[in-house]
Amino acid sequence: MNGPLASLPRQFTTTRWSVVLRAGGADSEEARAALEQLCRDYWYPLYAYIRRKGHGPEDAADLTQEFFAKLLANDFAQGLTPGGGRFRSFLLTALNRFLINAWQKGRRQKRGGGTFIESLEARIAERGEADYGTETASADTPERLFQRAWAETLLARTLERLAAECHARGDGRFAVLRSFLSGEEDPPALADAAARLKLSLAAFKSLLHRFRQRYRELLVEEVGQTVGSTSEVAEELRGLLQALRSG
Amino acid sequence: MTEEPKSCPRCGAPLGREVGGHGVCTACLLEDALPTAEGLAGSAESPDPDADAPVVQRLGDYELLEEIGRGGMGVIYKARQAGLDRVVALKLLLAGEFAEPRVRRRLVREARLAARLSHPGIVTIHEVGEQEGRPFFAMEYVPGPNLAQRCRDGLLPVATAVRYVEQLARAVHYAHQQGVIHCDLKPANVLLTPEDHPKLTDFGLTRSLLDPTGTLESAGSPNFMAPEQADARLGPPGVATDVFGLGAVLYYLLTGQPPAVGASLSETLRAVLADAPVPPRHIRPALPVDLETITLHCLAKEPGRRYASALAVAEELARWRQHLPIVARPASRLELLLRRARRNPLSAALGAGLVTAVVLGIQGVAWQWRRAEAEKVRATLSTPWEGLAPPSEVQGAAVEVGDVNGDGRPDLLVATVEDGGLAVYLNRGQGTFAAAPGSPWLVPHPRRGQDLDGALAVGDFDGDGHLDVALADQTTDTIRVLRGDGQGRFGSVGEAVAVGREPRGLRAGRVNADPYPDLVVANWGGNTLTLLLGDGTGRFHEAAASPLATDAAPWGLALADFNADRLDDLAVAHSGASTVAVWLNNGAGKFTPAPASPWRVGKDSASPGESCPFDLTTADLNRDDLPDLISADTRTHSVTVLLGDGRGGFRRTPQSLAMVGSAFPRRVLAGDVTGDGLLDLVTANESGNLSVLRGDGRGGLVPLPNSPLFEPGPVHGLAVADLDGDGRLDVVAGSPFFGVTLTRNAVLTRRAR
Repeated sequence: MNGPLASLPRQFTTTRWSVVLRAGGADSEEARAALEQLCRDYWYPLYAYIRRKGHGPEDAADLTQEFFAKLLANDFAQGLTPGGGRFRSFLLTALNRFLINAWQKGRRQKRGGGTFIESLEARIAERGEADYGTETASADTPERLFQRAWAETLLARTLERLAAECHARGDGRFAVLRSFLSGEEDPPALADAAARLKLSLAAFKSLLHRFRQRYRELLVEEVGQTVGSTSEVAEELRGLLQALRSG
Repeated sequence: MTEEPKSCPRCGAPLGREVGGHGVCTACLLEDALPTAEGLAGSAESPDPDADAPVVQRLGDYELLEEIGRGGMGVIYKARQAGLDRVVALKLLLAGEFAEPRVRRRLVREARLAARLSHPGIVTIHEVGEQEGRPFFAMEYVPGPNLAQRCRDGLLPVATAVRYVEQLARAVHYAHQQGVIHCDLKPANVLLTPEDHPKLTDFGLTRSLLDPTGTLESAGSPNFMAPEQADARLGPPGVATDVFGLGAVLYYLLTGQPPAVGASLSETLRAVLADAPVPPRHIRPALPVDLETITLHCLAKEPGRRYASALAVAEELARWRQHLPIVARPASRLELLLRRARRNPLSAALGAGLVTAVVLGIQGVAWQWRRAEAEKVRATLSTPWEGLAPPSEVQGAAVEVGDVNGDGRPDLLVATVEDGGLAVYLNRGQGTFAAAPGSPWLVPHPRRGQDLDGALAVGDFDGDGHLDVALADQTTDTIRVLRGDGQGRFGSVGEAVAVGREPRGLRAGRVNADPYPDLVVANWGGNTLTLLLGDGTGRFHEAAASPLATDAAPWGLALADFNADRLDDLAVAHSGASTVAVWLNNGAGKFTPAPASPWRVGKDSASPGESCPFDLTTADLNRDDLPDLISADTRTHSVTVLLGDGRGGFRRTPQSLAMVGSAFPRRVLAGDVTGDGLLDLVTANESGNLSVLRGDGRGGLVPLPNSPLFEPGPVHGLAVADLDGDGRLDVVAGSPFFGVTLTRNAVLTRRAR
């Protein structure tokens, strides 16, 4: 139970998803931009999901784009509420509804345009099948594949940012440090890496510690963009872990 | 780079396509950040310099004392109302949620309605207001705990649980009489008073959040949700929704878990729609049978099968409490009457009268019989097949059954999605299958994943006595023929034969007068049927009369001799037009529309486009030796039987339309699965289960309960055959991502023993 009330709850800190939620389906340039950025980041898990549902590459590309077009046109946002769930589960629910409708209609509708949708087309063409090709070995259900792809996207984005931060500092250490990200290092490898970076073992360990800490912060930030408030990050992360580890 | 370990050193999970060489799996890497995230959650309460929210400790008349709860809709404070000097619970709804004035007005209207409720089992709403655009409610303050919290330390005594739910049911019934529906009954919405009486909160609040179709758009946890809330097609929420909710609360109190569980929101929603709840006694074996019956009766998937009112639930629980027989099982009505009469002969004689008792008794018996039959078939079809673990390459597919190696046992032929080709599983007897050597056979042009409905047809196309296979390929718009060698091996015959656009349906039959099997292809993309004439060597060429232009996109296709001239005629399901069209074969490979064609299917009142006939099959359901047509309709969830008159005409009877609940029947086949000598229908549904419609031998259908058999998803293939050699028909279903599922007909096994 919380202590005596100090103030009304703060407004959600502005995560991308909270901006979308706050708009609650109303037309808002800000919400659209936030949603678009989220879609830009997380299109692949949806594509993989649709593919695993049995659609061919062209169909899946069409469906993915149509889905995002509808999403950005606010087709699913009606009734969204702050605290109304997290982006990941929202997307999957909306996508399922969309696929059932699309399937029932039988024929694809002409999708809306927009530069994002066009750029998405290029992205899918460039990366969709290449990435999906690496999934075929797994027998994951679409659902599980989605969760896994989501987790991997999240991780990849975090690492990209981590690398970018390292490079921005003119720091070439990322390549060395990233192999120690998990903390599962053995001492000889640590010493070896320290030597390669011309650092003492102690200095390297301290650098590694900061690196891992920054990784965790960035990951949490990244997850934070997909939930309505910072208090939900842990829950979302736990939910994702549960999805990854069940089955 | 050193070789990576095959499994995660930290958690032991197999390592798949991991991002970078981090040594551990993605999940473990993500987990590393959990403490950071948790720290964040904890610190969220502390002041944040970026926060621009106003500091408010008062709201109008109310002085906020402390936060006592927080949910998807808003925050609840304990507050003191200055003027009246009473402590209230103040629920503040988040502004953005009700940004739209229309939604806000609806909420306030509903809440005002709920505010009129005055019942000891309902938390009273004192005031409904708005402050700076945020709706708020001042409610009676009940310290709690709520029922969910109450159960946290262990299950309640059964008698306590029953008392709570009985009291709740009476409160809910009272509200229903006032025209207020709760729609979100769950343990967390039930508060306990210091006197240990349950009080329902949040009346009239949830419904305002329903979208116009009646579904909860933003439900965080659907574990307690009724099916009609998860899928608006099942009808609008109403009294029955709350009856379900009462059952859900009872279920939770008795078992410690909600009726529907899933690892994710969509999985839970799926469970809400498709999975029967685990019977409470499976979780807590010591529970009385009657309580289990009552609980499950509340939780019936179809609203119409639940108790008719909340009061009926309360009375039923009261009967249980007083050791009186319950009425949940009309099956036992006769027994009940007898028991009641034995116990209380005077009232039975006065209240019921002998005639009524007899009538009820007979109805009871009839009901009991139907129910027992239903239960039997449910048991029958829910026994998972042991023996075939579908390998991933059979993901998704059209399936056919046939004896490919001449050992008298039906083997499985599967059109595969991912790699495009034919996989064959040989029946080794006793319900075991093994992949045929060399299987799968890939067609030369690797096929993309696609809808494979009806993409496979089998027959002896080359006249060598062994089964051959024809595969429709939507990528290249061709048909390929694979010749079987009678040993279980297959090889391509000749070139692929070009057909119309997007061939979806493929059927083998006799189109012209020669004895060789021919093929008919429904070209969904081209609104045509392609007629391919077989020459008896496994090669096909297009008939002169081909293609036939159809009025609308052809989906399902059936071939049978509808006008008794010994030539196969054609029936086509036009989903767009809600009709089934019949073409009669004039003998020279030419077809003309049957005189009264097309026939409407689905509900009589349905206008074109309202129903969506998808699959079509033919069988003699009314035993007049004339083929009838059966259409499965994915939009209205129904199956229509058109009874053939042997002259190319068809008629419907009121009994020949059957609904299959919430399922979308995507495939339909006829077979005597109930073993009564009459043909039944099996539908494979988009929602991932099978339904059995029992045939009455006159073309009428009696739905039997759905039996969820395998994971959801479009079922693209269905076959019915006696796979284990026990004389009963088993079911094979092909799903695009859960592979091929076999369901053994277990009634037979029992009877055979």
